[in-house]
Amino acid sequence: MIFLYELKKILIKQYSLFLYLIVIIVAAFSLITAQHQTYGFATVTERNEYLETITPFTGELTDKKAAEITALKEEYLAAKAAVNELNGKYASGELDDAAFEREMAKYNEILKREDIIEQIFSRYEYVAANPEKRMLIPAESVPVLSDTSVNFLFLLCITFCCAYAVMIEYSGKSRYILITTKGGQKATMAAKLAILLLLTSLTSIIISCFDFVRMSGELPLQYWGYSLCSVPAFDNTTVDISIIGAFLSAQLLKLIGYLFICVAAMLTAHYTKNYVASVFPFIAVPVVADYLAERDSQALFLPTGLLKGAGYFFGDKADRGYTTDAEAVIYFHHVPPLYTIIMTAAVVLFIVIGAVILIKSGENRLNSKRHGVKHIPAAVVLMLTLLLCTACGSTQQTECVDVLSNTENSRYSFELKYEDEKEVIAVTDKASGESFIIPEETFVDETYSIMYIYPTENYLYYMKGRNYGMSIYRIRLSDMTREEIIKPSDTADKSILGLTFSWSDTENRFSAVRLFTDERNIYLIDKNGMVFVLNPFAEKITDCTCIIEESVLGGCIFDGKAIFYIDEDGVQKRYDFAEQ
Amino acid sequence: MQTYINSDEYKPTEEADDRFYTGYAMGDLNYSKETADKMRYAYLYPNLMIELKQRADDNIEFYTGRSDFEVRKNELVKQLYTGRRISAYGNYEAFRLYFDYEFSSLVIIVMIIFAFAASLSDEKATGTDRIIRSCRRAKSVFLTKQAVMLIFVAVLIILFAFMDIVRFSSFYDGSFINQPLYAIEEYKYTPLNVTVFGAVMLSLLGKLLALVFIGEIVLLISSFTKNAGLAITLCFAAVGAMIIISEHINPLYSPLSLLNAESWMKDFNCVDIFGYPVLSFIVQFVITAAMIALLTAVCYFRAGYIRKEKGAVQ
Repeated sequence: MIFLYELKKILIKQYSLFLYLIVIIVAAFSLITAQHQTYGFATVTERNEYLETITPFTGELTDKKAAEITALKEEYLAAKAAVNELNGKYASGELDDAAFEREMAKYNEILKREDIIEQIFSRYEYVAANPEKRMLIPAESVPVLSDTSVNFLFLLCITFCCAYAVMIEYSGKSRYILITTKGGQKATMAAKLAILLLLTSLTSIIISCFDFVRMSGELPLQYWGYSLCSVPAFDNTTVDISIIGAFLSAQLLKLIGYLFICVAAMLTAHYTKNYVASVFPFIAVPVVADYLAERDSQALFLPTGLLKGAGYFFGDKADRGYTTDAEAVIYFHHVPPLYTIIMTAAVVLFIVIGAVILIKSGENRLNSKRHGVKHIPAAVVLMLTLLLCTACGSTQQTECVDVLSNTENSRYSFELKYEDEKEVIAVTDKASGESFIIPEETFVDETYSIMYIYPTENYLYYMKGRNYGMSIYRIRLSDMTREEIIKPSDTADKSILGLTFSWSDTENRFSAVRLFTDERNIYLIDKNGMVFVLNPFAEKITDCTCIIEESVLGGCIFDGKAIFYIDEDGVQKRYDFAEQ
Repeated sequence: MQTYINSDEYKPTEEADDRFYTGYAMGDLNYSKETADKMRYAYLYPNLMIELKQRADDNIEFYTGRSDFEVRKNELVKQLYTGRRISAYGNYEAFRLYFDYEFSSLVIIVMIIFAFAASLSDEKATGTDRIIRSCRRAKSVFLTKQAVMLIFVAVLIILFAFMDIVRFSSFYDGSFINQPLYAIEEYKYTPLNVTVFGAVMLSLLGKLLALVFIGEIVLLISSFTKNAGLAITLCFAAVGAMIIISEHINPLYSPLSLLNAESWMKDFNCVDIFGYPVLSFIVQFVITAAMIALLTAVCYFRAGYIRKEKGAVQ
């Protein structure tokens, strides 16, 4: 009965259910926002072809497999050399157009698979460096497996709920009444402890299930039994364990870590009777440890390091010097497995002893002289709603335009020119024939170059970029003022108030070669000819979504309602926005 | 050195060689390249400004008759960037790191939450707020709370800034504090014609505004609940939400963006106000100050000092 009362009190009255649900919802949301495994390829077609090609080679590296992969690479290199030779002959006039195209056609197939072959060979080289231990898997990285970030939201939730569950007994003075009864407060405290430990365990398991689902998307199930060192992030691991074994062990370590925080927060609240003192250290220690030992493993030597899970399975990591292997500097020192075992056992012992102390503390003590704080929980919930209003421009009907070659609108024609070795936009007024050049921005970054321009009735859109980033600008044609509307993609690391967050940058390498727009959405054509869309709320170039997953470079016309294009087989197709 | 490294005579070794300044040929090459780059930047900075002025002139000529704002903006550029030169070459890494360093602000935010989130809720829980409201000096109590928060934030900012500068100066040379801010290569286009010391002071002002804004939010949340735990939780949630939102909105409307001096000092950005260009950071300061004033007013009304309770002692 006490258990049920406490359950209702903790879950409903103390909002624990609400807080834990938020944690679960945020974790579930990460399933949607998590980047998909791309294997380094932008298109689904390439990904499927890659998987189809590499699957026969996966698993243990045999001599036969090694020979086949090497032969594939050699075939590709030979084709590349032959193409270079053909180019030379064509340039010197030894071959005419027809002969050149006929000869080139022989190598097109293998050259089209350049990225796939390079990727397979790179995977082979990794396994060949240590064939006894490593097995060939298609993925170069499994982000969810090597994720060592601490779930700070869950941590906050645990400390708040656990400390509060104990503090409320003192602040409500019920502790002082119950402790004088025959049974004391043992049963209440045991119920509290059991509920919070169960709730924390359950939430941790649900989050692990989400991670499990993510992992199934990042690495096909058939490879989960392979040794952990098959994943490059764990190349030097000292633990002899399978991928799935490492994943489950990491989740178990995290669970123990959360339970440790749970008991430690309750104990601190019991002894200090101060809410701030029971919450602050358990948030501050992981944050500071994470910050101070951002790259190295010191944080893993603390009990709070258990919250980082997979960190215990990493081997030494080194940065190579400029010249020799001898100059490699080890920046991450692995945690000895024995230490992990001893520390985990000690933490489990702490949890058990802590639980016993907490339950024992509820024994009948009629002479208790403790004074509590006079806090009574109030059912006040503050809702902060920030409404961001964004004015959306009206959708304007555009005329039928050839998006691959459009450089005109009804009033002006535009072209890219080189002047003083600088790329500038030249504009010609069709009515008066007057030409002028739009000058460079005052604060120009000369490492960026203008890549493509696309005029509409009111604006001139253009892309500027370099290797890794690209931004989109537009010039208002009424007064020729310029604004940057889409910013370049972020780098792989992002810093918020000094805490660095890393994520996979495989999808940040997007580069567009053409753009067109209906002045609401911006459409981009990438180097493979696929069409992507940036909605009006997009901020970065990588916020785009693919809408046509085949090449439109054979011909592409846009009329504001649909995209008409010719695919790789020469078939005319239509992408209608209304139907999508 | 490059010729030596490219020659057959060069053999990479693990042991340091006394013939080289850094002990290694490659080390000397990299060091000299880095030093030469920094010297080149200081020496050629006036040329960079001449090119900038030329582009501003081109833009003025082009936009005359097209956009008055663009003309005024480019005139402002000419005004701000004319006559700049760097008189001393040096390693400014200590201050570059300091301006980009944000972790101290995070620690201060956590301390503000733990110090003030319970201040008004404790009064509510114990009923002290009613007693305070009924006494003659109720307004003084409110103003004292505000002043304590302001002093607390200011002292922490100064303390942390001092420690950060001392720490970075222990790694790098911190003796160039009297040089202009644009002597730091990453700040070549800063609109501020101030010394590094002046920029440090301005960065402190920016942090003060941003953190006082957070302090006001914390006090406001504290005034809504009797429960200290809930107040702390809500403060963390509110600050977290502000951090996430600040990543997606215009920095002008995000006081948190003032915490990182690099983000508002580094580049020339201006806002069109009735056709006149105003530097973005000035607008940011004004908007944040207005938000603080608004929050203080809301806190004041929330505290209920304007309605006198029946029987209040005058």
